[in-house]
Amino acid sequence: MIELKNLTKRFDKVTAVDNMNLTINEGSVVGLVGSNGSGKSTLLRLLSGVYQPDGGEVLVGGKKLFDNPAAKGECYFIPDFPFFYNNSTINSTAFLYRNLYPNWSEAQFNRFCSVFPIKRDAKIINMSKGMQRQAALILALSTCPKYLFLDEIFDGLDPVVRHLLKKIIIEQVSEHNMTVIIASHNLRELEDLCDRICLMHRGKMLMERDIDSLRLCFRKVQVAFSEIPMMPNIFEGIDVVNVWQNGNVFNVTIRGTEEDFMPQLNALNPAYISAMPLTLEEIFISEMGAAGYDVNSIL
Amino acid sequence: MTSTVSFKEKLKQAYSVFKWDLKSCSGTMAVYAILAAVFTTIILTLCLVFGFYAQNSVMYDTYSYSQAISSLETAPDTNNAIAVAVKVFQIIASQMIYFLTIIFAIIYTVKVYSYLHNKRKADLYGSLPISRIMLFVSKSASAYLFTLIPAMFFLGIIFIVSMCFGQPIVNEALNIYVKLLMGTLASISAYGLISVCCGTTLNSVIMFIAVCIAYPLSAMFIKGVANGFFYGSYTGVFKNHFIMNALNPLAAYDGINIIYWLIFSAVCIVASAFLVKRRKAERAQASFAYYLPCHIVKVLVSFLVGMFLGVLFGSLNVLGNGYFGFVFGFILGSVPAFVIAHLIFYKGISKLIRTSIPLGGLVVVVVAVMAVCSYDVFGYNEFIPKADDVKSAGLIDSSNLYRESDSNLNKIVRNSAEDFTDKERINSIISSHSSIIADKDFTSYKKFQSVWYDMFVYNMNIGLNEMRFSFAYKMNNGSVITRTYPASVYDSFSTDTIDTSEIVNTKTYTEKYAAALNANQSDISSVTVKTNEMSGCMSDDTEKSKEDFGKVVEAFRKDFKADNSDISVVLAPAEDDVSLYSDYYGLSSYYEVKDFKYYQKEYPDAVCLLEVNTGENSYSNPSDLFTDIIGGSFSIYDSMPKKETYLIPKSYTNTISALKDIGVLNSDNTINEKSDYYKSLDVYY
Repeated sequence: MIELKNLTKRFDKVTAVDNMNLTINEGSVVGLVGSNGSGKSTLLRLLSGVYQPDGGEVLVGGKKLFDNPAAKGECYFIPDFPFFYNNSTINSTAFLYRNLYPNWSEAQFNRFCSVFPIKRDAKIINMSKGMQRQAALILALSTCPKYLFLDEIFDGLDPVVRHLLKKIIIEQVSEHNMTVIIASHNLRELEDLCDRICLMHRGKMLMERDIDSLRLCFRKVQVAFSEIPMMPNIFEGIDVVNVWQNGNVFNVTIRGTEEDFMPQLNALNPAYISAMPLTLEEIFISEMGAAGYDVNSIL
Repeated sequence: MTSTVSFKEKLKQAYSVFKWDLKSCSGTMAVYAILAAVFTTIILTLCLVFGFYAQNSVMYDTYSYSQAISSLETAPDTNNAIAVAVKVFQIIASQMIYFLTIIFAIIYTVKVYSYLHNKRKADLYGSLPISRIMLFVSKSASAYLFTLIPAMFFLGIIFIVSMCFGQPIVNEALNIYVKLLMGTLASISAYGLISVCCGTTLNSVIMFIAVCIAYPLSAMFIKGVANGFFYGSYTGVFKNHFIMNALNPLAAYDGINIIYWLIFSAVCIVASAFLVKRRKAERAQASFAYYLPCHIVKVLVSFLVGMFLGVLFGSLNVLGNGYFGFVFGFILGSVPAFVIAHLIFYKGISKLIRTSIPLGGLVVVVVAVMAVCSYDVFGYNEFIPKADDVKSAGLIDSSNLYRESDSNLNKIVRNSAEDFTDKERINSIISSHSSIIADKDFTSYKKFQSVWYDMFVYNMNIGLNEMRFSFAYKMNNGSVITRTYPASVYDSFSTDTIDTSEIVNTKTYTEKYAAALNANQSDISSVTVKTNEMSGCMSDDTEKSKEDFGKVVEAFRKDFKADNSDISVVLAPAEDDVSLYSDYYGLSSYYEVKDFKYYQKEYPDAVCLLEVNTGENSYSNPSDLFTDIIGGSFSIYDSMPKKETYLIPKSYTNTISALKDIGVLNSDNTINEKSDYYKSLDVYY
């Protein structure tokens, strides 16, 4: 289990992670989403023991991680730009990890080297961005981590490898109860993979919920009126996140299920009404808009 | 809540990091190996070829190699030019490995510690399951071993090649081991500490270079000011002292002050380990992780540039007054240097005002201290004690002083304060002292000029003794006051006009400070007995000779002790009798006595002249030869060659008897021309 207790990290005058509290259970796949500079990468670096918290604490498997080699041996972090020396190959890097990571599996290493379409003796630095990520993934998965932290891992991967990666992660989670935290802007991929989503903005956790309940919680509703009701606020009493009007047609994002808002909407005698779940991207935009981070406020 | 990793596991981790770094530095090591192999081969080839030519008298006109042949002829353990050539190869190749290793040590070190200065590397290393201290120590060990193992390998090859030619390993080449061990340890430790404190590799390198240059030069300025402004103060004790290079780890490559450098390295490693544990990973690619070293370097650089311009303006008497010229120059130099250093380190002017407090402090302190020095507030320079206040006094003339190379001159001078207690001699000492400072120009710009002299001439030891006259007074109140004056071209007094013979020729002085009476037998390089200028009996390097002439010296000491005359038998030639000789480098000079017959007229009972040489003064080992090849005029001797000549009177029966026993003198006190030690002496001179 991963526990964040009042976790704070500052860079000079900027608070990148602000008094954050979170508990992540074993075997879950958590997606970290948020605006640029919201603190996702910083949070991953705190989780992997690269950064030392300025306040609060991070407990991974009940252990403080910073400068704790034994605890770090169960974690692996792939940053957004993984580092490789000029002459590093997968084999040469594996040499380092073999003695450092207690759970290193030679069988897994050989398996993943054959699964991913990549040469293990080629210089990693000469590979494309996507292939470098694959190299990092092979090494990461070969350490058999209990906790895997991935930053923008889908960036640069082709659709086939993305699919392969998701499959492997799901396999590892189900077979080895691995906990995975993925920070990404690719919400479509997270939607497929994650069972939980954390939405961050300006160092704070805006929202944290199971992806299923998240989908159930929001509805995109289109309501058309032959004559718009003469009321100051026609959606009063409904938890509206966002409204967009085009003539007599309203596109409304509502927090809640059909049971919560349909009776009230039907009472307005709409000419047409339809409700459907939001995609993760739509939820993200809606929630960020509610937090004052939308296209209109930026422009 | 925390887990531990066993010691065995830690070692395993450290080994992994070492091998990982080895792979990343393999390219650089290959370049080192190629260069070392090629240069070693070139040097061996050239040495053997020149050796062959020399042995066949082909290249005798080549100066350096003719010296090699001289060395060959005087060295007892060599018998051909090839042998000398192999020794020369050994020394030159070792020196080449030495310099190559220093250069590559810097490259490895910069490379190995770059993990602290790159955000992507910080992500990699920060998330690895190894403690920060263990990682740092492993990295440091890697840099140390990458530097030393290849160097040791190539030095080993050089020694093996030499041994294959039947030549032993010379000390100078062996010393390279110690120098590399010490220098590499100190440099890597110091750079490691700087790396931990800096956020970027560029800042680390600039800071390391700045410290290595600014510190010793600043120390030289301070020493120069002490000498120039406190006339008669003695700072010679700081020559080769660790304090002169305390923050310059490259000085550890000299292989001296080993204890200091071991402590220095240990402190750096411990401080680095302490700081690296707390170092914020996010400081990678920022200016600094810890700011204290930055402040120190900025102040050092400002001080150095300020002193340079200040002393320059002071010595040029800018503003019509040396001191005001200095103040103007110091501010003009130090402030811009501080700002430029700040711009380089901080990559902008942020925090400039806030961090300028040390600069303000520096300017105030330096200006105040220099005011005290310039105006001689304490009257140090012109102080001469009144005879009535002096309980006892002493004078030391360096041209008549034997001391071991590692002896403390300051201590000798202080101890001399009790040499003479009679008023007549005390007055004579005070009189000599007065005549030295009588004509001295104490205007401040002259003092600034003497700072340059001290820095660029005195420090480089070019052709001068480190001091000439020292005075010590024990006052009635028990305090001891000393003054030491250099034989400086910059001083107003001439060494010829200071007459110290009244003190130097006393038995007290000779007994305490003459080489023949105080030197260890091992430091006596030769003893000569002669009755004319061109021939006599001279000791050689054989054990028998050392034993024989050792007996003569012991007998002479016995006779001297029993001699009750106040004036010693040391020949202090009068001015018109003096012939001044200089040795090859001009590093020393000595007085040559006139022909024995000249003295016989004045001392009818004289039997012979006994000449005692101490210190090294011949090309008897390849080290001198090498020094000559690479430019001997700048070499530094630890001890000056010294020659003393004594007139042996008939009353010195023990000495004469010893000379007869070893077959140097005949029974009628004439030189035995059939003695094994008899030889023509003109070549020697």
